[in-house]
Amino acid sequence: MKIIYRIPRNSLIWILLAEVAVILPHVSHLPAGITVGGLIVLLWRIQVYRGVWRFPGNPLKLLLVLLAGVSLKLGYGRLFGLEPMIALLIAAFLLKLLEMYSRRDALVVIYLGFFTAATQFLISQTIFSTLYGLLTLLLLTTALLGINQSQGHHHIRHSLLSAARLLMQSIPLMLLLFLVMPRIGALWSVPLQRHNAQTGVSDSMAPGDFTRLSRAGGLAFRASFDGPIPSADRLYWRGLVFSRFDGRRWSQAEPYTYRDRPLIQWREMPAPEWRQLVQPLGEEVNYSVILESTQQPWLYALSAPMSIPADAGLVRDFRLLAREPVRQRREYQVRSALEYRLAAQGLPPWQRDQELKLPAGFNPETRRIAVLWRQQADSDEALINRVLSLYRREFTYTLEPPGLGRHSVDEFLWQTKRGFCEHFASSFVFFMRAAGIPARVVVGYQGGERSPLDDYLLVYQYDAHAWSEVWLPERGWTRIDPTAAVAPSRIERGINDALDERESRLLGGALSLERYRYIALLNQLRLRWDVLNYSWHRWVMGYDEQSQSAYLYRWLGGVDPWRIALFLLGGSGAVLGGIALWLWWRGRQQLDPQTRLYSRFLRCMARYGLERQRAEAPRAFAVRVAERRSDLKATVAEITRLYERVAYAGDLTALGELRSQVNRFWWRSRLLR
Amino acid sequence: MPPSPAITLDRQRLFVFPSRQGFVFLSISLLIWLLGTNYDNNLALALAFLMVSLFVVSIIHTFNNLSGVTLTALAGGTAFAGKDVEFEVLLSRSGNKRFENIQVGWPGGSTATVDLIEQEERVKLFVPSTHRGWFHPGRLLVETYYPLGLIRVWTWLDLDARALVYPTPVCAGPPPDQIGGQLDGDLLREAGGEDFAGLKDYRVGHSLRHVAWKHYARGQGLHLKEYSDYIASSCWLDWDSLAGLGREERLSRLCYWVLALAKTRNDYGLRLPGTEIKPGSGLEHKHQLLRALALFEGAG
Repeated sequence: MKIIYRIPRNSLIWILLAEVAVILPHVSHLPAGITVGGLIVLLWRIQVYRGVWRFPGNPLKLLLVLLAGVSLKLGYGRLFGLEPMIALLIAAFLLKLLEMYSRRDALVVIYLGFFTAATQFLISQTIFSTLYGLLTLLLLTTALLGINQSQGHHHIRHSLLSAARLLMQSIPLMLLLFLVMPRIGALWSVPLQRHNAQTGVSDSMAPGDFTRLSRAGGLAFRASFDGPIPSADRLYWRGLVFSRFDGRRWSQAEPYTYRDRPLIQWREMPAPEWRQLVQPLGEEVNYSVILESTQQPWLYALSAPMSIPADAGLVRDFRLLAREPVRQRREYQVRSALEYRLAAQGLPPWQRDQELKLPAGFNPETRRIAVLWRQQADSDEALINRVLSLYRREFTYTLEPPGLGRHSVDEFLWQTKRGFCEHFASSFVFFMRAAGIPARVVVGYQGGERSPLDDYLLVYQYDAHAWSEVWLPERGWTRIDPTAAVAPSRIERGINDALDERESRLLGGALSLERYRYIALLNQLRLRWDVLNYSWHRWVMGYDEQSQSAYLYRWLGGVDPWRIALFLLGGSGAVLGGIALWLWWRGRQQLDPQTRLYSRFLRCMARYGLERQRAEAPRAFAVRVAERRSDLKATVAEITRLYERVAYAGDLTALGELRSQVNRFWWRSRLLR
Repeated sequence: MPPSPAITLDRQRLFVFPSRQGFVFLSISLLIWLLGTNYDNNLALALAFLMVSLFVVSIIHTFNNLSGVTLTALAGGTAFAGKDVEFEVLLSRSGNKRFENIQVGWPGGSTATVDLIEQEERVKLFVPSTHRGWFHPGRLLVETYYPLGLIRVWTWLDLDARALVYPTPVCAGPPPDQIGGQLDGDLLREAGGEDFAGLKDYRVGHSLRHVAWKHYARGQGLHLKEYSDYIASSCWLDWDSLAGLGREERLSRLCYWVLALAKTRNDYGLRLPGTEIKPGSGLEHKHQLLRALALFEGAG
């Protein structure tokens, strides 16, 4: 007789649940075909489970495999790379459900589930996804436990509780391993290829771009400083420098226009000649930035960065660039000079040309007035001040500027006079260039919000800003922020203060919490939540080789292998010993109080040399004692009577009397000896 | 380890080693560790470490799922050589510990899965017997993979289990008594027996108790029902009557005859070299003879 193995139903429920939980985080980026096919498979399997349908035949299975293949092909067009691999894994995993007959099949599904659960962390590493990951892990462990239970096991809740207990007991050891297991770097490089939309400042600027950006919600980055946070008017986070103007759009200068090489100094390279162009003045600040993913390579740094973070480089125009686009949250350390002098000795002719170049046939009015004002001004500074005071007198800072036509600068400067930072920066730089002063647009972020609960700075997308740098003899490149002339509060207190209440509610999109900052309670919650997120990133996501060895030095006084091994052994021994002790404690023989008292009494009797025989009833023992020791007769008879009353008649009221009798007898047996 | 009827499993007796499933589980966690290392992903690393911890913790739990169980071999059944012998094993526990999914079985025999939720649990195990005589099934394999199947904890126990195996019955024609010659019983006609033998005419003076009233009611006259009894015939099953055959062949045929005669009401006795069992009948007698056949060690 052959016994056909059937996967325990108890386990099957958990396998199906775990599977759904494992796949759910991937649904948003899976090709639609796989999601739809997955739903069909799940439905089918549930119907099989309920005994309504049979397992599908081969034609349908073939059809599903084809569907999976076609959707993979259409969705990605390639098979290598992380995303297609995950999708392939999930497809295989789903299809296996319809082939799951034996215990081994079920195990394959569960083990694939563990691996797929790990891939969800490549997509998101927030607190929520961690908690969710724990949930999937619990379901998977329950499924694994269920499959190792006997067929007739039907206590579904019991399986879940046992699995939860196992997981809880594993967590201390996991933390220990997490803390001390040596980290080794990537063994081979596999770039994450993801098709996510780019966020944050883009590589060009046209009127309206920053207005849109400020309405997008979300955090750009957090920064924590080694010292006090510098004042708001010094928090200019430089991201990109735009030198080229095509009449409407500002963008970076083409690399070939630069004459000196190399254009980018990567961290491990020796300093090129142009590094000499910058002279730090006064204090330098050390800070670290945790940048949210942008899918773009720009790294933001204050004023003039003096050090280069790992996997990044310093570009000729003194800003930082990552080797790879920032695809996940990334932390980097920089040292910046807040006061500096850049290219004070003069500009080479090619650069002077580049920073003065204007496209022909645009904004004739501005060009005319610029030349006129130039002649009327005594110096560059006087001209700049005249333009800035024009802004201050007649212009309005608004999130809802009117649209601009072909001659955007002309229309803005002499007609509409209402604009956002990009309008001011663009028109100012155009004016300067037309007047013969080298000038360029710099974009990045300005300011940020101090977290009141922890000492760091939050910089949001709506803090995106554009300003200008003009080159002045002897002073070199000098930052001029025309927005500051129109709306000084924008710089000093942030954008929320610079806009009126109605406009400031436009910031950050309808769903973001930042929008509701004027409700005090929500604002508190938002900031608290951010502190939690920030600590999560700092202490969990950011726990790397360096912080590991720092901690190990502090705790163990060194990072020698023997110390780590000893610590690991000691720690895991303590944890496992604790678990074993707990299991013993839970499983030990639990005696009734009367039995415990009676055996205590028996131990006292043993001191008198009287031992109860095996299978001797208490009363028979009492009789035997009475024959041998008449002095003990009364006490023993009384204890025996009480014990019998509690144990056999179930009279618990006699328990107290029994206890005091036994205790008295215990003292008596001590005193006699 | 000397055989003993009741054994409580403890640290000295249990072996612990990862199962194949456990090794696969570790490989998966290694893969996840690689993934985490390569993508510099702390959460994937944490998952890999959690899986390893789960593995380690399940060592204790699996061990705990067997340690403390007491196994006792109860009486073994009887069987004919070549057939399955039934053994009964008692699993019991003390204390509050629950045990789940313990597998017990002798090599080559059936395996039973036991959940020891109650204080004790009996399992029936079947082991194919090989030869007649006392059958020792060898060492009992007790193992468990619970809770996660990653670890195997097992032990081989020499419970003092044995069963009596009778010779395989081999058809040897009708028992000797029906061949004639050795039959020394006779039919005894005697009133007052148990079996209905026929009717005879009623005479005055006969007891009315035996009147066939049904016949009388049908108008067939007054008859008496007559009962008779047989003196059970007895026969000897003789080792020597099977001359020319080997020892086992003879025993198999004698066994067949014992079983055949046990179904009749004849008395039968057994003569083996050095042993003689007087004719008799009944279950007890049959087993006495079969036992003699099973344990016969004389020359063939």
